[in-house]
Amino acid sequence: MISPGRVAIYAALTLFSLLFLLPFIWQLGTSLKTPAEIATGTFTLFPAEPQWENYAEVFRRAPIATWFFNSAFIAIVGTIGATLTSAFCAYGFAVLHARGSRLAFGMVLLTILVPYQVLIIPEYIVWAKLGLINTPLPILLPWFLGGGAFNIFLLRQFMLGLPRDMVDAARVDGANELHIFARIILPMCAPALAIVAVFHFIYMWNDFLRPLLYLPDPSAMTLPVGLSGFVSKFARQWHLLLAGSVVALAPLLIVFALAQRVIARGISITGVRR
Amino acid sequence: MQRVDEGAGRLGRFRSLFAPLPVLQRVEERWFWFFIAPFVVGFLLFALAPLIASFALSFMEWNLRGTPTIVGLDNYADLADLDGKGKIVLKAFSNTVMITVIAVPMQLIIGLAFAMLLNQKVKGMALFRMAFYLPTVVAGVATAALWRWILGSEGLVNRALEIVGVAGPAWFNEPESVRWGIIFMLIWAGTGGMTLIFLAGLQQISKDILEACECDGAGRFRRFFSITLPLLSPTLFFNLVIGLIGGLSLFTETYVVSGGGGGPANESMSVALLIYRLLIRNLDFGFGSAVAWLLTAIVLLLTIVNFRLSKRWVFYDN
Repeated sequence: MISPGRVAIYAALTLFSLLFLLPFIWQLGTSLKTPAEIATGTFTLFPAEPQWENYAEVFRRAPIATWFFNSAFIAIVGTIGATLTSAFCAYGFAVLHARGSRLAFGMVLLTILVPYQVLIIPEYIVWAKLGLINTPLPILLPWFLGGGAFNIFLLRQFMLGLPRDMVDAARVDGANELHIFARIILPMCAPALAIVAVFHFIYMWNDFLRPLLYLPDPSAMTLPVGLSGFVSKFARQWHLLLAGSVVALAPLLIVFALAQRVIARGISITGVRR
Repeated sequence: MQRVDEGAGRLGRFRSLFAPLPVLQRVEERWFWFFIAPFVVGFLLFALAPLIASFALSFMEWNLRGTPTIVGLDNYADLADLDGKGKIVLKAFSNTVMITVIAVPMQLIIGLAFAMLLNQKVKGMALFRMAFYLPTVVAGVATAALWRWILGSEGLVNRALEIVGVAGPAWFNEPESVRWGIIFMLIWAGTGGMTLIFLAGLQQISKDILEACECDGAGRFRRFFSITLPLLSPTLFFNLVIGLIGGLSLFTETYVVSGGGGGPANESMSVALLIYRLLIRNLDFGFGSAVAWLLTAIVLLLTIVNFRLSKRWVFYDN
């Protein structure tokens, strides 16, 4: 038996899902229309005849391939750095006892509360003085030093939930902490590492302020920064602007589709935290 | 304090001051600092040092070329000069606060409502969950560009309004509507993330309590306000704190919508965009740092107030 209440729930859920999804479908459809078809202002989702040429034109008129490569390089290297270093630090906080551990962990949490925007002026000055603008170092290095407070937090929580017996047994056998970290804890953390990696990749792919500051040269730009220039460059050429944003969204949609389970699990873990 | 070497005489006692812990513990402590060393270095270089440096810079005048000169409280006096340099700062803060104060509660309320819907033992929940979360995953320049089009003068929203006979504005090109466009965009993009965190919180609430309550004759509303909401308050608090910090550091959306200018008529200028412009366009490091510090102070104050207030309404069951 399906009650009217349940029908209402499904109807509401479907309606809201469409509200969230429709813009994307419409964006994809419009990116394949001719300017003339867009200008007619009909509500059609899909083009009369798909204009794949729009994409070719975007690639011709802007170095999208370069930007795409830059984005991929920064997102991948940054994700590796953040995942490994945050696991490394989390091991210290979760497994090892020391005076000052609580204080240091308090510092980790404190960094969540300081908006990055307030740090950019001195940071930018130092990187500029070092002549490292238009290199990926200013963006990548911080992720190799700590790996982000959220990531440390999540991995620490996960490690605290692991059985300690194996660590103690390994210590009795004379294994040192590096060995225990690399051979015992890290493999057991694989599910949590996947969560951190997926979320961090998404974060880095979307990151805007840092690449905008540190990679202003068109040959060094990332895709979001390049795309932000489209807004004025292709002000009235919606088909090109939207084709460009489809290219920028594609890797995220692919990661999203492939890593759905990881993402769902990640949200339930992060949501439980206090 | 424990002695390392009992009865070793004066030297031993002297040593024990520097070695107050048993050897094993001492070794473990060293490993601890070894493991968290990357964080400590990163914290010093990329959090503490810039924070202190920007505080120092806020008392100076500098534009990268010459040497910095100390100007005392001049930058802060400029902040307070609401007819001069301070005018745009006030505008940026009032824009940011207005957008945050409207968008974040809407995200919380809608997010909670969606989470309640999803928590109804729905078939295909995983699919709905992902549909709700997608906008949060892709939030950034690409979706801001998409919204620029949807809310453009001939965009989707205005065409829909046309049908009911209302002429919509060119949302992002008119001073009266630009912030509403941004608010709309933030609600669309931010609600999904909150929904899923709420959902995770809801699933932690034991069914037994709710059923016991139902047996006692409590209605749907009574159950929500007396059981669900108090038990969900830590999750609500988490979403609120993170949402507010995110709102106050609004940057990408305003940058894309206004092409980096904060226009029209500075109506979409956010504090973070202003700091960026003072840094990159004006090279006004001292004044920019003063603005940055004002933002830091406000965020920290708000967080402290939040934590204080939370003792009155956030319920931890452990």
